[in-house]
Amino acid sequence: MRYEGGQPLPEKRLHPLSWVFQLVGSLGAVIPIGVAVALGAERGGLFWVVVPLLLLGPLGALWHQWVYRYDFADDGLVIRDGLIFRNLRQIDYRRIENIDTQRNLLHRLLGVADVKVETSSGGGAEATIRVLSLDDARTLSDTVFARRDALKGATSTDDHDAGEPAEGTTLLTLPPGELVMLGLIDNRNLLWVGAVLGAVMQVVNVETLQRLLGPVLRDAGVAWLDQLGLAVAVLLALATLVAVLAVGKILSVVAALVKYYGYRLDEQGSDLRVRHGLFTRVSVTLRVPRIQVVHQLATPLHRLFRRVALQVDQAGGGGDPEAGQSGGARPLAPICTPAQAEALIARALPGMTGHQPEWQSLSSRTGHRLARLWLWCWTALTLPPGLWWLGVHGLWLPLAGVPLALIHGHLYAKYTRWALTPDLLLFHRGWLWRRLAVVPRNRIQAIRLTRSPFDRRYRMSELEVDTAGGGLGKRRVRLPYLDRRVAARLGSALYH
Amino acid sequence: MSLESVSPATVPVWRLRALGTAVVLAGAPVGAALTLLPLDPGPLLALACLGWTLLVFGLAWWLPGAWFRHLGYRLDPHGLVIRQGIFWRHRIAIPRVRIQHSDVSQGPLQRRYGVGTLKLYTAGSRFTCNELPGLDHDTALALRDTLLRQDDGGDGDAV
Repeated sequence: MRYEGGQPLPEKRLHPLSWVFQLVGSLGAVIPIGVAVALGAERGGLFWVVVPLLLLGPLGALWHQWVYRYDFADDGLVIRDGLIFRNLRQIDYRRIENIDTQRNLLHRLLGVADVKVETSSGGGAEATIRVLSLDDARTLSDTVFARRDALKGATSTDDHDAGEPAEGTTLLTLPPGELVMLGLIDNRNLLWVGAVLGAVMQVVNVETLQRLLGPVLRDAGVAWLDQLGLAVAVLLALATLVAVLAVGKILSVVAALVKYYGYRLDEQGSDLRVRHGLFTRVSVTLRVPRIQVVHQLATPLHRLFRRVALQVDQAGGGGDPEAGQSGGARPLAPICTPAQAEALIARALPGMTGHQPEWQSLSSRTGHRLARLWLWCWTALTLPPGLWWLGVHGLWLPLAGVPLALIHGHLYAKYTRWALTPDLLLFHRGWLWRRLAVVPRNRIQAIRLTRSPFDRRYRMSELEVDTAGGGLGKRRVRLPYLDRRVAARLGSALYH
Repeated sequence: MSLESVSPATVPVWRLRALGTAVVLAGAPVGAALTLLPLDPGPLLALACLGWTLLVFGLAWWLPGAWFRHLGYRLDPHGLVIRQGIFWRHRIAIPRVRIQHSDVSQGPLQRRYGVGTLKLYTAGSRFTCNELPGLDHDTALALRDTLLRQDDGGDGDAV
């Protein structure tokens, strides 16, 4: 790399076809409007006036490709954008956390990739290089990581050797059979199908259906739907439900196959590398030191197939917006066996899982408290409609909820437990949907003990720990229903 | 494990602020009820208006005092513990090695009474900004300096 007046002059250029992707990426939305304007103008005889305007987009993209340069300086990646309004960015190698590549169908046809350079600052990529040839992308990531490790090795002695291999051992691959299972377990598409069906029913209401299907049914000897017997109606409803479920599951399987096709989790030096996708190839590097919490989820369907799902919360980073995740959550293994999960957790939190956890249960009053809570909710929900429809007999409805509430309280208290090892805080909760959170103790940012009026009544406390990653919604690490003294002791153990 | 309470001078600050809110909360609905409804308000409506006004102003008077009684903090070698809340009582412990930076802020009303708010920022995701309001301004500055000075001994990486 050359220097001119103390300013670095980066020399490496983008792929010759970059302008295509620049155009698609930045102006994709404008092209239809441009075409419409052009068609309108041609009718008015103004076509040749509009043509230069239309060329602005491609010219801008070509200009971007022509002036965009990047190079490897001694201590950081240098990116120059623009020639008249110059924007020179230097990203320190040591701050670079991830170099991800993303390829959709067009990228793969042309053998190129979008390269995203992520730093620890969070909030999306620090720089997106659009686009590089595959060889250049690999050179870029190899060079950056080699130099980063060399720099880190110079400052800290405990780091691994600089010349790490590009390919490490494979920790997990998902063959199509596993992906089919993943699709069967996943319920997200089901909601989607339900929503679409609901929307369709809004537009095409029952009367329209009757008008459409009426003649067919009349031919079959049925005048109107309401003339069908109750049994047949119920059967039809059930058939529809089963059909919706089946379609939803098939779509779900297809989606899982497309998204996670060829899923590979590799070891790359001290980091982990995830690659998957049939059309859009996704490649993500998970930096092990930045993993904050490992979550393991087992729904009833997971347990039916004897599988679990693993996710990690990473510090910073914008998560995967396509998967509806936020705050740095990334899947480590969308599906794997419990034994594999244990090995993967040990790999994601190296040197921390040596001690067998001694599981502790919640407060002995948890089952009682939960049963009462559920009974109150059940009563509030069922009593008004019960009294409305059944009259005095509706008073029996709350009683019907007693067994369910007792069972839920008992099972929740039985399966919810926590453990503290010298390095980790583990929390397993729920009996139907079972979630396990594994938090390294040295990643805990703050500890909060909460006592609500109900907690005070049952002599309990709730303990919540905060880490630098995710921690929203279901991924909050919150231990409820702890005995008051136990919670205080645990809190001070984590604090010290 | 005793906690220190913040400066009592903060109670008037919170009371004035709460009274301001109370004027809006009580004034708007009562004013609307009296102007929009028939000219001669029935005894029930008048009673409801009176009750609502009393309730809002009573709360505005009582809450700051109760909040003050339940607010406490403790500085120890490991960091800062803040306890707060009247009904939902929180006790948050922030290890000092986790504190990224800290602020002492002072609004116009607070300046008049010589109190300030200490804000501690961590790299966490939920409890990123932890406030300890109502400290004597000098105490807040001293606390901030203590937390900053001790930070030299930390292991350097707050994440």
